Amino acid sequence: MSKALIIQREFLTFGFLLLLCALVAMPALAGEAGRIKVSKGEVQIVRDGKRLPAPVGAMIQARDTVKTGPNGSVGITFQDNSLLSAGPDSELVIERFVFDSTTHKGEFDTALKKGTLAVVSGKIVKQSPEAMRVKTPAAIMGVRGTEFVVKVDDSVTK
Amino acid sequence: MRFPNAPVILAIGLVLGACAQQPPSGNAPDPIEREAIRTGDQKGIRTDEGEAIHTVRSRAPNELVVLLPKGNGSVGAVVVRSAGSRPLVLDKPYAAARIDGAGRLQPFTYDADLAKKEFSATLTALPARPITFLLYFLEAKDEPTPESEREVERIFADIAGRPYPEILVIGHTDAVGSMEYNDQLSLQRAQRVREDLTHRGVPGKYIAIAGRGKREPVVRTAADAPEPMNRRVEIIVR
Repeated sequence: MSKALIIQREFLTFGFLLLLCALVAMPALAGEAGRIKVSKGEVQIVRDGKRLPAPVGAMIQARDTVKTGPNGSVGITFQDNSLLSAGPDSELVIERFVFDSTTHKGEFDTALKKGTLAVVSGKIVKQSPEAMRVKTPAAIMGVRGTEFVVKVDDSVTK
Repeated sequence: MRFPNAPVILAIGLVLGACAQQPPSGNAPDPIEREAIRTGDQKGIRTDEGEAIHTVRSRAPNELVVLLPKGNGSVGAVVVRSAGSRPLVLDKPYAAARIDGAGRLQPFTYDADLAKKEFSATLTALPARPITFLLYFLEAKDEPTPESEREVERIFADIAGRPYPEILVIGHTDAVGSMEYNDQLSLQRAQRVREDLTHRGVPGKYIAIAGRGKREPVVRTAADAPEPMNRRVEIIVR
């Protein structure tokens, strides 16, 4: 077999493996990150530009934005046992959620655009401290296994 | 909403750029008064610096982060990073930081009662902590021990109180018998628990089951040794 053919075959094998990896990884990227367990007042999920209702039991995916109205609050349990809750007039973006239930390795990025957030970290942080991050407009919080609250007051300072 | 910085200077003795404009006061006023003081001071910011602060503030929000003690009394840690300051580690109960529009971090200690009040709607919305229950089984059977049988009611009550419970039931065995036999037995134990739960009213769609055979003993034993602690079913409720 000529050298060119061997290289071509290796390329094909590599390409095939890459495709396989992508197929295996896909459900993890687009799949379920968590479930809404508490939903009071006005709560919405914004997914791909569409506004969806957010009742108890609704699935949360990476890249979802969760919004609450003036009387709204929402609580979400994630697959690594992390808990997040947002109070009234809040906007929370689940930027990234990756979790390997075998190794407990993962990455969890959320962003609080406005309002209030309570955080109880889960298995991702236990396995890798600071693999969970909470962003606010002015700061990033690296979570090392804890419970904390964050408030972003977006009312314009007079 | 803004938070006091005068007590911080007194308590921690840290004088940061952001709070340097504010003279520490002798008496700690109540939160509302302190807010008034704070607002008043902001108006009094020197013009050279004040213009810049004001421009940033009108675009960017004021932020607050407060570390809470965990349910069991221990405390973890949060590292706060921003463009305007060195990273700040919060690792004491109610250790807090305020972050202004310019990204300046200002550490202080938040009042415990005030934190509970301020964040009450948010904290009330936190879902129940995920929990794991253990049931033990009679040797070579899918029947729980009498002690564990009595636990089932309590476990069911906990699960019934949870909105949209996601339940994973994992069966295990001790080392007596072949791999295949124990895989089968562990799955039977998990199925038995699922039946118990569904009979008590937990919808089956919430329950996933698995059998791990003798692969994950909690007590290490010789091959083929019986061990009551290993004959168990985990019920993981999220």
